[in-house]
Amino acid sequence: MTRVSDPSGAARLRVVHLFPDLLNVYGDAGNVRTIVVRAEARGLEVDIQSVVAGDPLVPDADILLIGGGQDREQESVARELERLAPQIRTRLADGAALLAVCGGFQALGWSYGAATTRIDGPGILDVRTEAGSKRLVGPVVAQPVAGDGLWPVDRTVIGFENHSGRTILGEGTEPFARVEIGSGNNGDDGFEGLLARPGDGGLAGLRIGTYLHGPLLPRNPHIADGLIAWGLGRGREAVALAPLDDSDEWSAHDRFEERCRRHRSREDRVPERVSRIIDPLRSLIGF
Amino acid sequence: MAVAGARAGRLAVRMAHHDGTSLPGMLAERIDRSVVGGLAADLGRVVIVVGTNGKTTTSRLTARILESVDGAAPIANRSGANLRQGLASTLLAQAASNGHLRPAGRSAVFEVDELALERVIDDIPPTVLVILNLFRDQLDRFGEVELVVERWRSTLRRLPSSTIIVSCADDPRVDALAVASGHRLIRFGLMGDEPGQAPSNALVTKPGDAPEAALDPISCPVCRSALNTNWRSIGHLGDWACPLGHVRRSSPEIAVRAAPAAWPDPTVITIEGRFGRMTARIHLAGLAAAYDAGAAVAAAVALGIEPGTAIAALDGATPAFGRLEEAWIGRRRIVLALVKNPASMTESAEVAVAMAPDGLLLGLSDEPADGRDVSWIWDVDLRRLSAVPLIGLTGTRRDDMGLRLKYSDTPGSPRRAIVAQDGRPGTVLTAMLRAIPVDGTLVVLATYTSLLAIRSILEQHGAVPAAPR
Repeated sequence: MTRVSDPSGAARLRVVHLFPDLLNVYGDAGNVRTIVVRAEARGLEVDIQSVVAGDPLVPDADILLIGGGQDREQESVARELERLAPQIRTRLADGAALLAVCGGFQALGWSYGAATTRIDGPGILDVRTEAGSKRLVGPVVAQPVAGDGLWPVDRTVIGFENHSGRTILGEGTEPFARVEIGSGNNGDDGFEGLLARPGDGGLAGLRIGTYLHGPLLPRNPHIADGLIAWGLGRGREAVALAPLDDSDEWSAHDRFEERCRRHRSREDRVPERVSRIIDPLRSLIGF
Repeated sequence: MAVAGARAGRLAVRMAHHDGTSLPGMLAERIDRSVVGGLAADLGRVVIVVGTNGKTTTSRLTARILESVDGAAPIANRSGANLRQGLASTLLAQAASNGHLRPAGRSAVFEVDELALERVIDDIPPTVLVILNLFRDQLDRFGEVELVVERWRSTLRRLPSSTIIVSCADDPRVDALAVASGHRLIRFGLMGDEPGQAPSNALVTKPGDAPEAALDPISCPVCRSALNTNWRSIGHLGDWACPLGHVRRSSPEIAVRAAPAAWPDPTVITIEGRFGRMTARIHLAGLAAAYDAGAAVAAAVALGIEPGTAIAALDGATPAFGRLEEAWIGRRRIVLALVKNPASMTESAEVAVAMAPDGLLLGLSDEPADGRDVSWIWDVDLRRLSAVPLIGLTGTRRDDMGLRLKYSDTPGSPRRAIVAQDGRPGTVLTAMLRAIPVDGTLVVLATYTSLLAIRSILEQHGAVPAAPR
């Protein structure tokens, strides 16, 4: 195992946050916080760097994070990517893990159809996105497609989606998860996000594209640890991580999932008008 | 007919002991779409207040000024009734059986939801439109902030040409909208102690400062460069300029300063304009209070009211429902603050910390009135709150708030004690009040339905007046 170490001997995790100045809607900064806290809890030294508009370089990284933004910022992001995509590709070839959320997920694909224009992307993620008329907004519960020691498959992933783009996966690629509740990539094929396993498409790094905000990682600690383990292992292996007490994380995860399921089953029975009266009453008794 | 139908509806609703803010209006409009326009035609001067944060307080302060001038309280809607049906209900409640307002010519102050504005202004053309600010908020409803900007832009085109716009000089997006409308404009904004100085409590910034998670990226409308700021007050509000000189903040006609008071002393608000400089003492705290007071005075000036009269009327103003409201139970002070988006929560947290509270009760829920998506809590700067030793959590999404706190801690930061974590607000409130000392302060920061639930418990104890129905 080759890893960058500092003189004190602590292993170092290098996190690069792409375009926090352009893509920072929706609490996706919480993903960065989660990586940092969970890595530090394992005794890792964490080094975070941001790449903002106009920066010439994408520094060496074990994990690359890119968040969601507004349509208006997508053009600026596309301009930045035109310059920096080759460097991002190099980092991924070197084994860095990538998490791309919403706008970042769309921007790293082949193309993105905004309301009036079409923006070409670098195709780092094998997806295409068209503009949709109705926004897909709401809570999501999805079953991750995993195995291969990426993360355990007995837990769902949860989050909140809010996008008008309709994303279609390229041929031969697999989704990050299959939607149980919510719309996912396009509301039609039941897929949520994109998963590129280490080595897929000739790039060593693990890559996740997803529409899940919430943010994703605090309440899905299995995914957070998958990114850390495979990022540290440069896509060749999952570095073993000491287990943490994740009872708070799973409690938040499970209660949200349960609420989504209950809400859905109630939606099937109770008209919206009635639940608008019932919901505030429910919150009074805290249930 | 519509008025009679709505009255019957309102009566039925009252008998059912349900909050009848929107239903009568909805019924009346079902029967006759023109009922709102018909009633509004009987109004005198009309002030409409829009913006993400501060609508309720600004409306309340504006109503206070109008009451002192008119000798009678203006017609005003309640904060929960700021959609079209809510305004319809408000007007109907004042209508006589002949379908007219009595007396005619009364003033009105309406706060209006961001997306409802376009459905309101044709029937209720405002004499003055106050645009406070635009922050990211309720993205599950609005989609994107830019979509709100676009809808406002086209709505402003339909305003009567006589409408005067009062707008915040410190919000570049709002300023651009107001300028583009071509209407007569009165700006309000913060000022420092000396000309050219940053306001106290504002964050002095310089180009190239690291971007902050809670800030919306705002670019120059001409060249799309990211705007620079010299200082920032709340979120992106501040002294802004395009780095290439295309646009910059204009000096506000109504400039405001709030002297940070040793809470609970009243805040001294200083307002400066062509008329000179005057002060008022109000029981509202923080930079938000300064903005809201400035907006209210600017609205009054736009209506032709003497600035001195307007400022004098602000003296002694008290907070609106859940806007840093104070209550006492068993010699413990409880301060209630409604939070709904990163800007309002960061500002409330700031004010809360200044009160050196002994405990903090955080309520986070995701009912429709709160907003279904709570991702925004990750965009709030909570570092200042790490000084508060005791924490309680309630609301349907209390787990998320717990995680938010857990992940805001850096190694070595003091461990906060979670005193209680329960969906039942009464349980948490009781535990918190037991844990804090006599004469201690408990600050409650909560989203709408959580705050309502906590407040109704305080109401039962007679610690706060009944919530507006």
